[in-house]
Amino acid sequence: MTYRITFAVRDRARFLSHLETVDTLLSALRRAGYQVALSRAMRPRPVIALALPRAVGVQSEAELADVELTSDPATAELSQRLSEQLPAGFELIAAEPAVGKPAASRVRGVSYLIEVADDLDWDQAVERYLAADAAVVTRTAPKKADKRIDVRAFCTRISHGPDGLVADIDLTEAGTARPEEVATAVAATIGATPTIIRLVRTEIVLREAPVGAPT
Amino acid sequence: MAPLLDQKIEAVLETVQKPSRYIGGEANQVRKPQAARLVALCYPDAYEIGISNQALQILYAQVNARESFAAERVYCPWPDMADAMRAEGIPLFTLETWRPVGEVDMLGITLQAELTYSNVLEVLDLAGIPIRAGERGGSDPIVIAGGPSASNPAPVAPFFDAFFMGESEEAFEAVLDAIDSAPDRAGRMRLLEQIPSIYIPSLGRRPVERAIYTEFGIETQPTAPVVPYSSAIFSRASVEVMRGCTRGCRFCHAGTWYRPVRERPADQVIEAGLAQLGCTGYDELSLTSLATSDYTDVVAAIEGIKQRAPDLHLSLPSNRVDTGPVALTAAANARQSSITLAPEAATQRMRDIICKTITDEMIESAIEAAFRAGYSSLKMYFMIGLPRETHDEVQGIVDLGIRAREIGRAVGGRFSVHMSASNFVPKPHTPFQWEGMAPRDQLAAKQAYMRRAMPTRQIRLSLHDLRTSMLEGALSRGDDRTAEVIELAWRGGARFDAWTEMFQEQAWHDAFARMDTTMDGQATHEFGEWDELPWDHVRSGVTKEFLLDEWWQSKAEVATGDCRWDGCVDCGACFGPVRNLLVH
Repeated sequence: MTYRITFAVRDRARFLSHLETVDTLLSALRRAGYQVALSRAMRPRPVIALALPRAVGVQSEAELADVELTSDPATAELSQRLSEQLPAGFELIAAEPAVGKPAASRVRGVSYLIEVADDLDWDQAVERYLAADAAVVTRTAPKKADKRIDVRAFCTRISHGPDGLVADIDLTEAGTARPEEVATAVAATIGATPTIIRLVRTEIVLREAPVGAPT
Repeated sequence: MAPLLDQKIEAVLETVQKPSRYIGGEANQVRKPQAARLVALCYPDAYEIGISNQALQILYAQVNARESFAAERVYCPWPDMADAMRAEGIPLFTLETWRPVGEVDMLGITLQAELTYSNVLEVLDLAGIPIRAGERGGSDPIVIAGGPSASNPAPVAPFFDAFFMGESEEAFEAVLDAIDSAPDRAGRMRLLEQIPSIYIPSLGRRPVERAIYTEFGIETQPTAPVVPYSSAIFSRASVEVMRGCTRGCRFCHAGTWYRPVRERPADQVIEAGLAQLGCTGYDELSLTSLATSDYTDVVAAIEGIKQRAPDLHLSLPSNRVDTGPVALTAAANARQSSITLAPEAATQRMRDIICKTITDEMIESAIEAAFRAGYSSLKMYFMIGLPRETHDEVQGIVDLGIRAREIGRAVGGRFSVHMSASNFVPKPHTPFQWEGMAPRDQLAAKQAYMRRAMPTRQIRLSLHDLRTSMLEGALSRGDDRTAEVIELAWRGGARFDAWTEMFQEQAWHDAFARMDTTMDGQATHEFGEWDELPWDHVRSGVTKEFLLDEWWQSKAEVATGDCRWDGCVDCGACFGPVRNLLVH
């Protein structure tokens, strides 16, 4: 049976890579006494998929993983046993039967809390950003050509609160923007460069699953 | 608000490669922040290498079993992290609580390989501990070395307050007692002096005895070892089924250092293995030893584990080259597609010289058995540069690669042969301890010949880096002056020497030159049989007379029997309760 596991990754555990996060979940499930189903490929792999990779260093309050177990435990039992086996920095938030297509194929947006140093007039910057038609930043990556990203095309809902910037970022067929790019684009509207203290993923938003869709 | 050091560490982790190397928090980690005594256990290499070391997992459980003690882990930070730590003023910290290593009571550093010696200095320096023991004060931790390379302490003696020789399970308790009993550094050192398996360099080259865990009880096998993050080189449960090997391969340090043979009964191995699987969540179990196919209860252990966990991936490393062990390996793990055999030498003459008691027929039968068992990849390990090696021995490796391919083709199906040849490095406490390493140009010529002569179709050839082999040779039988070289090289930028991409060869050449010697001169140096050796005061149990006799036997090209089957060879390892302890 396939379960959707919602979990938080905090503190030092946020420095784990995507692969390390997956392996940590798998070994916790095995310690909890569950066998993860294997794929039917030439080289069978455990059937597990995180909805969206998390960049190293980003804290998350709402990671989603779809995992197929060879058994069908009650969700309360699964939650309790898995909670007991998760290592420091991980917290199980929910475990429930997965409905519809895999979460990884249905992600339409991600919400972030972007903790920034309070040394800028962020309210004014957000106001200007929302009033602008475009907010272009340059994405650089080693061994790749620079890429210009119009952050405004992916992030239209943003506010500034006591904890920092709260931003909803869309994932579209044309791509997406990274939370640090959003902060950069917002600060650029007042001619500033942001100091980012911490990035916290607060929600992964999925497209609605059709009613009665098979798992 | 997190403490300032934690904040600084977190800020640095945002900028370095693989930050998971430094965060701790793995399953089965033990945190005892209130413990009165703190011991830092260090493997002086990257996390992914060190976390896989079984000896440190044993020691970690042993220290943490004491209520008043906490053991915390330390690894050598990768250069990007080390540079960032220096820039930000962050001292080396433990993984469990991010406490500065300089504040612990004792820092234990395991010496598993000579190529980690420059990292020892890197660790000490990052911890803010004076590099030289003589410069340490009352507030500094006691820095103690252990592990197989400590068997020749001379090259690193000035950097350690003490060396622990041998197996920790019983004898290290006395070390912990010393740390617990005395209130200060000086008092603890006075107590350490009295332990037979402790060598304190500042007291001169006194005799020191290797500690041997006579009973080899299953209770010291860790049930819940720390489960590494996925970057570790080994991520599997393991039960040590047997310690020691008496086959007597003359190049093998472990074959002397871990004598005599001690085995654990199959029922204990099965229970310990299954318990560890439950506590770790691993899906693979390894039955470890120096030669698992020699373990008396190997069949019973495999069958017992398979009965209880039919789908388990079970691995048997270090097997003898013969049909029986190949069949055992295949029975243990039907999913695996590759198998490794280690003939070490390809001609009967050379196998007699090194005392590897297998025949051409056994090797060919094992190859055929491997292909018939369905393995599609066969890997074979050899050494070049062995004493009294001729062109025939090198040609023999090439011929055996071709022969393996012929056998594979005759059996049919898809397959590949992987031939790997390392460069022989003479080690202390072995019959070849008097031998010099082969000169660099000879080894280079042999490697070049093998590259030319070995066919490439269905055969892959791997050859070890000559540069690091020569350094290993120069350090392994080094003396007091070698310590000066190590410090000079480290100050010249050497660290992570075992990593080809990090190896600073020139820094080492410069360091040797400043001591009026050369790396190659040290590596190829031959000792005379009457010479005093730098490690003579370290008593492994095996006598120097036996090693000398074995050296002569190698010159006569005569192999010696294994005392498990052929009667006592009078090596000296057994006395009183210390003896081969077989399950049947």
